Amino acid sequence: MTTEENRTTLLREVKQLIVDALQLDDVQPDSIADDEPLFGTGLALDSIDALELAMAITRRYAVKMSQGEETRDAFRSVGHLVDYILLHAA
Amino acid sequence: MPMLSPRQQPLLHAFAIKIAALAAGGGALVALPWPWGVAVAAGVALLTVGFLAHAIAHPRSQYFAPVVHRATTTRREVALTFDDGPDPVVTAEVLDILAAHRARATFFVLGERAALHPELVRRIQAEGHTVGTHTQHHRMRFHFGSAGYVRREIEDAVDVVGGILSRRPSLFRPPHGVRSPCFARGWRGTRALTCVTWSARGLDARATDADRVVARVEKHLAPGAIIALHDGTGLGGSTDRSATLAALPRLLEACRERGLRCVGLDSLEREGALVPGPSAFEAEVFPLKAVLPGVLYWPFRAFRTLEVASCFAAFWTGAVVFAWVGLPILALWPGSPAVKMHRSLRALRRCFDAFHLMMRVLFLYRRESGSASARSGGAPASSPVVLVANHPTLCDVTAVVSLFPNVVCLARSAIVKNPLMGRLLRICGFVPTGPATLHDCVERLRMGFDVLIFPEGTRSPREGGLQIFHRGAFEIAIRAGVPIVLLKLTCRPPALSKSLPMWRNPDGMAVLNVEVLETITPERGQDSRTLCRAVEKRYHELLGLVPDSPALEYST
Repeated sequence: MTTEENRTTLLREVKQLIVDALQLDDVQPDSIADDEPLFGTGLALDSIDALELAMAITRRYAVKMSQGEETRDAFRSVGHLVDYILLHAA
Repeated sequence: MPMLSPRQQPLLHAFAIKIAALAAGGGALVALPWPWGVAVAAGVALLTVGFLAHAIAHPRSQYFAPVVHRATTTRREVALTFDDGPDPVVTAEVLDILAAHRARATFFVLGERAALHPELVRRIQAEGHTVGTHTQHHRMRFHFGSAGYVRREIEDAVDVVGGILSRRPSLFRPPHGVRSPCFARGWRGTRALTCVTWSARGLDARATDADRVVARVEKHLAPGAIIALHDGTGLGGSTDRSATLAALPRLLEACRERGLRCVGLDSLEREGALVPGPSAFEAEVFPLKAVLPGVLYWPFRAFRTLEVASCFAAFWTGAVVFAWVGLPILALWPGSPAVKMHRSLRALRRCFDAFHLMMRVLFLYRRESGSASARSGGAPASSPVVLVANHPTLCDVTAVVSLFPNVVCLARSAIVKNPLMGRLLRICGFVPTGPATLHDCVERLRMGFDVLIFPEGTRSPREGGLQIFHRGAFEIAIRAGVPIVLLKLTCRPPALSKSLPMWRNPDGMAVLNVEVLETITPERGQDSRTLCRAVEKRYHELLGLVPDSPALEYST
């Protein structure tokens, strides 16, 4: 599997994960754009969602998500999250 | 130069006293050689203590609790009052004398004695006199006891007399006329009782003779006078009431000569003549700027800012001393971590109480709470709750923490990491915001603590306004399966609020009102977003904000 394919799969997985973990019943995973903001506008998630999502990602990909600039950056969009996972899961 | 009305004078007096005390004490320490400087400073300290004693014990002082010391009547009426009864011998004789002179009076009875002689209490009322209360037991502890003890002492007596007369007495005389801070705290928790002191007293509770009692009272006989006498034996008093009984006919005669009618306080109350003097030193009551000439106003403002700054300094120094000296000593006592946390928290509450007393003595700020007693003090709560509140001022955290027995607060992680404040907050079980917040808060609830959370995450924007609510508090309550108690905090005039810098503190005293509104019991698995929006909406209604304010457009 090439890196590019890997990333596409991961994007799809993370979108599904967001919908499942946060029980966003009215959101289709495919309707979330890769660069759509997760907080504030866009999906409009809040701090509790961030915690849940961080826990779900940690469980699924064994990636540590602690407080800090880098983690905050990772939560900007699905694309950023996937990049973060790819960087740290290795 | 505008004249100061009597209503405005206390604040200026206080300012003058503080300036004089500081100037004299500080100046003496600097300027005078040893030991004169110290001696003068000690003298000044004594004077200040004297001022406090005046505030607590003077029958006219409105400082800690509003009192009626004389009736505001224009009719030629006076009120004789008798404390510490009923006494089977003395009270009966007093009633006979009053009847012979066709005079009415008021009896402030002790609950325990009323319970022993209910027939006397009924006779007092049947003969047209007024019955008030004077605490259940009249013990020294009343002046120093906890708010709960004071409240019990007051309410027990009211219940006893109310039971005998099938009508709750509404007048109350504080023992020795003392309204200490301890008293004021407990008294505020009781149902609307009017506190009555006196404008003249016979000092007949101790051994004396009738001539002196008459002489003390006679010169104060004027319309509206309230005269304190005794028909029972009070705390530390003599058991001999012969002076009272001998003086009473002469006093009644003196009233008759002056054309003064002796009436019960209830008739004055119906007349609307029992009004407490101007209470506390609040800004709405004292439009200071309009009253004080400019030359005095700006020094006063500067001094005020200095006082606020000194409170900040005291708060931070206190926190450091408490964290590094007080808590380590406390930690020497054995106990499980939860017990130690409760113990530290109790000590923290005492410190906050002291801090509030300081702010109150400086006329800066006081808290008021009618219903905070909803959660009883002492042991870990058997049914912990999540407390949510709006956040109008910096002072409200200390107020809520010291009013509720077992509350830990969700604090910004920056404060918990702060080297000065952090240690204190960690030991007392405060929870920092961060990834572990939910887990930690649920853990605290399981340990039996109430958790206080300001869902706005910061102070409310302006007077009466609200920021957008975050749903963390609600998520925590749902996960822990505990009820949510809504608190409404109002600070009037606004002080130390989000948009108000320290030097713009109000002229008068800011009053923080803590009101327990209602309890919500969330269902397990309920969606915290919906609950959060519902509570946010409720707060908008409660604070009288327009229902279509921006916060409600926030999508759910």
